[in-house]
Amino acid sequence: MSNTGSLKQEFLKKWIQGLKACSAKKKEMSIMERKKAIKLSADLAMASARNSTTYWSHTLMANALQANKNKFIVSDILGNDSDHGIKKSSMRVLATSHKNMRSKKILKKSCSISRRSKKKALGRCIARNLVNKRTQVLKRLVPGGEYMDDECLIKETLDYILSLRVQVDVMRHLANNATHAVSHTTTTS
Amino acid sequence: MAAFSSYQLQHTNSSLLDTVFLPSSPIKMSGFLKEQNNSCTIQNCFSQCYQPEFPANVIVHENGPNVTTTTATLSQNEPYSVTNKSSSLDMDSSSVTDKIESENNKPNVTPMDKKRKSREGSPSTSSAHSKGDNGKKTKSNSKLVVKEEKKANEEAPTDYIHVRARRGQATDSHSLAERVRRQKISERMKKLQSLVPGCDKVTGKALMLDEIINYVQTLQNQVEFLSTKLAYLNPMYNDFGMDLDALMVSPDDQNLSGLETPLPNIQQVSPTTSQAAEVIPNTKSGYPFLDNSASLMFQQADFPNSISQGNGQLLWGLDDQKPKIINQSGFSTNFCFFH
Repeated sequence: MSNTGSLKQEFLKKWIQGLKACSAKKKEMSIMERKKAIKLSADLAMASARNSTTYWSHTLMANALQANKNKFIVSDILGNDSDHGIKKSSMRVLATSHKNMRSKKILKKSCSISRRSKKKALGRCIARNLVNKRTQVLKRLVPGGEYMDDECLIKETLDYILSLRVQVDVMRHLANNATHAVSHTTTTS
Repeated sequence: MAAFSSYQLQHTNSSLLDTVFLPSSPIKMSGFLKEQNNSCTIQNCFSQCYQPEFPANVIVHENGPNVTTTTATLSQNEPYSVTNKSSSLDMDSSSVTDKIESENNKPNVTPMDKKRKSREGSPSTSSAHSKGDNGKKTKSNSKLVVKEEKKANEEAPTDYIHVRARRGQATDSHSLAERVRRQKISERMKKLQSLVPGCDKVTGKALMLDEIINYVQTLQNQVEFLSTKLAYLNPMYNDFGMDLDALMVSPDDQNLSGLETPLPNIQQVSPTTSQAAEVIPNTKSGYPFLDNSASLMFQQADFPNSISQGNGQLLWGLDDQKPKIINQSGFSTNFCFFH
């Protein structure tokens, strides 16, 4: 699929950029710090590939920006104007999402008042509860999911799954090649 | 009536075959259409004809004496009529008779517009009208139509989803909006079904959501695990800031230093900073040791352009077929960037 191929290349480029920025900032890191840096740059690379067009990428970047120490990575990956751009768009995005949620909650409340007289089947109630529980879990998983309604959530999940897949593929390839290289060097020795 | 409907079928079929051969990807066919050759094209035009030609997908059912006008309108909506009619002639004749009879009972009924699940961007204001008309449709016919619509709907996603109020369902704006919302959700769930492995076998929102949650959690855990693995394998970020050009200028030194670094890691259980510092002076001593491996692995080091572009393409394009190239390109990627 050419789409994922180009996405992979973009992700790889940005990830490497981020990793370079990490190493430039701090020469020696413990393994945990390294792991965090790798993960962070991978996540940010993934998010910047979407460039704030989706909620999840937006929240990822916004969360990363909140911790000051990550700012250099973000600015490196996204360019120097990223801080302002993200802050502005974050306000806008969150405002619209909150507005959507609020209006929908009002609508639902008004609907439920009129519907309370109806008798609902028990099975349907149970099914609805199950679905609600699971949507809440999903909201916790997908970054920025708490502010989304159902339909938006599923769209974001789709995109998020795609990007996660790409991320995992790239990282797995690198890890495999690293282990190959290591094993090769050990055998030659 | 049977003769009438069969005439319609022939008429619409011939005109359809002549006019419509839209290029599009082959689509899974429902069992309804009997034309085998043109089944794909018919289905395609069924899905595609709506977009350019029919801003409002309307089927006008009129009273008995105005049967000629129905033929005209039906021939306009060729794809729909073909798929509908070809399903079963008997069904159509019975439904046509039913409609005509029921409509004869209510002479005041104006031609009702029926909105269908379609792909056009027309507003759904007239969906409220659909109630009266739908009350007349036989249940089986509506099921047939809905099934066809569903099959066609899966193929081309659109902005708008139009809802038909089925028999016995409320038609106030709230419930209609609810229904629209529900259909949007179900459409997206279908897309998710294709993405998430193992989701095709489950039906129902709750189970599918279960699978989706599992999958997302697995992917996230994989990312964590892989990042830890990579952190373990690549302790050295010292030369990380090197540009590719700088790397190309002096490939051997950096590459060898990069090569050297994973090697001691395997022996060391927990690479600390002191150990990392020890690795650096080892590079020069380890130089002859790594000659063979270096020559093997860095064939592509001479081509600066290929590294950034070619590696990406080689890695992803030739995935399982040529592991050697992948390994080599992977090495050069790895060691150019992760010194």
